[in-house]
Amino acid sequence: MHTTDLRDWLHNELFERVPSNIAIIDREYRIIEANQNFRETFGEWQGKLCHNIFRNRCTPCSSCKAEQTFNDGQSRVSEESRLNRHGDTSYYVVNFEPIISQNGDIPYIIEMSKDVTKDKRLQREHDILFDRVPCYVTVLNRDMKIVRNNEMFRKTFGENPEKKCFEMYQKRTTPCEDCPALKTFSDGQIHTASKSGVNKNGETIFYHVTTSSLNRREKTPTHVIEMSLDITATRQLEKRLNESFDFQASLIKSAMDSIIAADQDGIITLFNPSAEKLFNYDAAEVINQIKIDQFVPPDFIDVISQGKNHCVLAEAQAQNRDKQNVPVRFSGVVLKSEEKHLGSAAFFQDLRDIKKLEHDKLEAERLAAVGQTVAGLAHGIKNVLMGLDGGMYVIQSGMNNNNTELTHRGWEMLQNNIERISLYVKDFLNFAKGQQSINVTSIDPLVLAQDVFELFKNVAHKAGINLMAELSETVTPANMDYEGIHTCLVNLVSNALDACEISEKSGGNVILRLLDNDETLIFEVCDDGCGMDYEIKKKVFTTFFSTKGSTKGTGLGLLVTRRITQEHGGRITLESTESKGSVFRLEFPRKRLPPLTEMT
Amino acid sequence: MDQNNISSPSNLNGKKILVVDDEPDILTYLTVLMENNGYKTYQAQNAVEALKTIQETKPDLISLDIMMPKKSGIAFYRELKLNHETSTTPVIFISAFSMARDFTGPGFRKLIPELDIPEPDGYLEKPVDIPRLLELINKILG
Repeated sequence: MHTTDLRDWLHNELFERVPSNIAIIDREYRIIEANQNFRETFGEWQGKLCHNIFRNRCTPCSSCKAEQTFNDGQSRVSEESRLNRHGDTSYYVVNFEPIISQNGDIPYIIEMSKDVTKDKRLQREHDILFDRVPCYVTVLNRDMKIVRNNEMFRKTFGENPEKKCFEMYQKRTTPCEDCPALKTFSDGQIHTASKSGVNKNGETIFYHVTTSSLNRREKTPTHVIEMSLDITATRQLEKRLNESFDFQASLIKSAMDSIIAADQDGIITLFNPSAEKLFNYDAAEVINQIKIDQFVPPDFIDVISQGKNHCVLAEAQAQNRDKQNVPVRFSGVVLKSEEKHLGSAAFFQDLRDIKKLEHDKLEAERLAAVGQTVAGLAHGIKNVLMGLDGGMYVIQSGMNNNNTELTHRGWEMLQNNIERISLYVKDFLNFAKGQQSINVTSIDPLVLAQDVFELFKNVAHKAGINLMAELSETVTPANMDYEGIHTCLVNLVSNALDACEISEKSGGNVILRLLDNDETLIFEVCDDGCGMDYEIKKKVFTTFFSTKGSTKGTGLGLLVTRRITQEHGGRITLESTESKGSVFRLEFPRKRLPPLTEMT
Repeated sequence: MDQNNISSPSNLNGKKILVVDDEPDILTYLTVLMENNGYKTYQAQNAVEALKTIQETKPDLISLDIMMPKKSGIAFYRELKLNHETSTTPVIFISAFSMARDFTGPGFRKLIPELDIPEPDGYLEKPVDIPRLLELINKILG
């Protein structure tokens, strides 16, 4: 192509081909010429004013750049928002160039605009991202100086321009070991690291840092961008979780209770040292090997299968490796998290020591009762001795005075007191024999009480005493020695009848009651007979005495009753008012009743 | 002469003793013993009978058992001492209890808290030592 051809081409074609919107406007702001691109962007322009077409206005804009260039003849670049031919606002970079005539006038301005709407949006997105991303973002130069940083970085580490990365993040004077930014500066690759630093308040901050080159191609970048994700909160949570886990683990480990936990398939996942001791298994033999079903009472399995979440058994048996039953208090729970079944846990309290203490206490009480009984026996024997002394004295007195009647009375006294000795021996042997063992079966307390009532009904009637029974019909069976409790009730009813007989009042009423209150089984014998005054009440259970005169009893009845009651884990109480009557009450808390005697 | 009859009946001017005990054998023994020693005796098996007899016979001495039906000897003793008609009558306890601890000093005050009620004139443990009993009676009534 010749030079003249090129000139022609430039004059004729370039105007149409440049990738810009070009328009020529005169001093009235009328568009007098425009290229193809302009038409495609802003539509038909002939006969229109520039503010008509760009802003849809009738009057010129307030800070019109074209006007300024007309006035001063300077070229200008400006960023402007304009309406395109579809009426949408777009952003343009606009060059205003004066066209100067030979006489120096400026009859026209050429304005060239380029659409930067997309660039603007990208820039905005980048700015938001840079400042608002929940990371610390910094740009470093090769001196490790922070040349740019984001809002989150400034909030956390403060605004300190021109400082180096390690000065800001770690308050140190040299780069940290294993610095990922240095690596990126040397090889241009992305690097990561986990670091800890210090914020502007002096608190420790943990973060994951990623560094990458800002230069696309160069192997030795001029700038590196550092992005750090703060994991301080996560680290703290992790730490707290670990602490809480350690705390719970040591609680479980040092618990006196045996604790076993299992996953949702019943496989054991936890077996604490107490459990190792109780069941005689090592945790390693059990965990992930054995199902929890092998250790928990069958009642717990039943409870779970019924859809319940919790089971407490005041007394249960745990079977150890040697198939020995150990008495335990048991508590089991189904573990859930937001209705999701996680597994189950079982707690066992070894009751062997408690059982032994209880047994020792009963034994101590029994020995005390034996001691009191021996003291009481001495009391009774003294009376008998005095009777025997008296018999001999009266016989001698009768013989000395030739008084046959007195001699006979003396013989009678000897006989009475010898008979009392036999009675003592019999009762005492009975007391001692009963000491050995009780035969516990599951009995119906109602049947027992009715039995005793029938036994005394006729006796009471003949003595003119009204014997009544008030027996609860809803009492459930209890573990008791039938003969023992029978003896107790016989003693109490017989005492009550005697009290009525020696009362000054005629007749008299005796009531035998059976109640079941709050898991306590109660037998009560009330009489409105003679009652007892303070001194007698005080001695009644601790001393072996009788108020019934020489022929009626030895006084062992109440001691025997007390002993049997205690052997059943119960207690005996007395309310008595002189000449108004007495109430003897045997109370048996059901959970203290003895276990069934094993059949041999 | 029987060793248990240490005083001659003629010296005693027929002093009256009430014996209270719920056991008939003991009553017989003590009354025969006392009569052999020249005292006039009365018997009662409980506090109610005893009070009646005291009012009727005004005894010079009361021998009192402790464990008796209806009312114990202790309660009865307290009543006697609080009643001005009977408060000056001497009382000795005869009981199978080991009484030294319970019936003297602080032990006695636990049973009878009123400080104006005196301790009894004597106490003897069953089976009684006859010479000591007669000596005690003689000392009180002599």
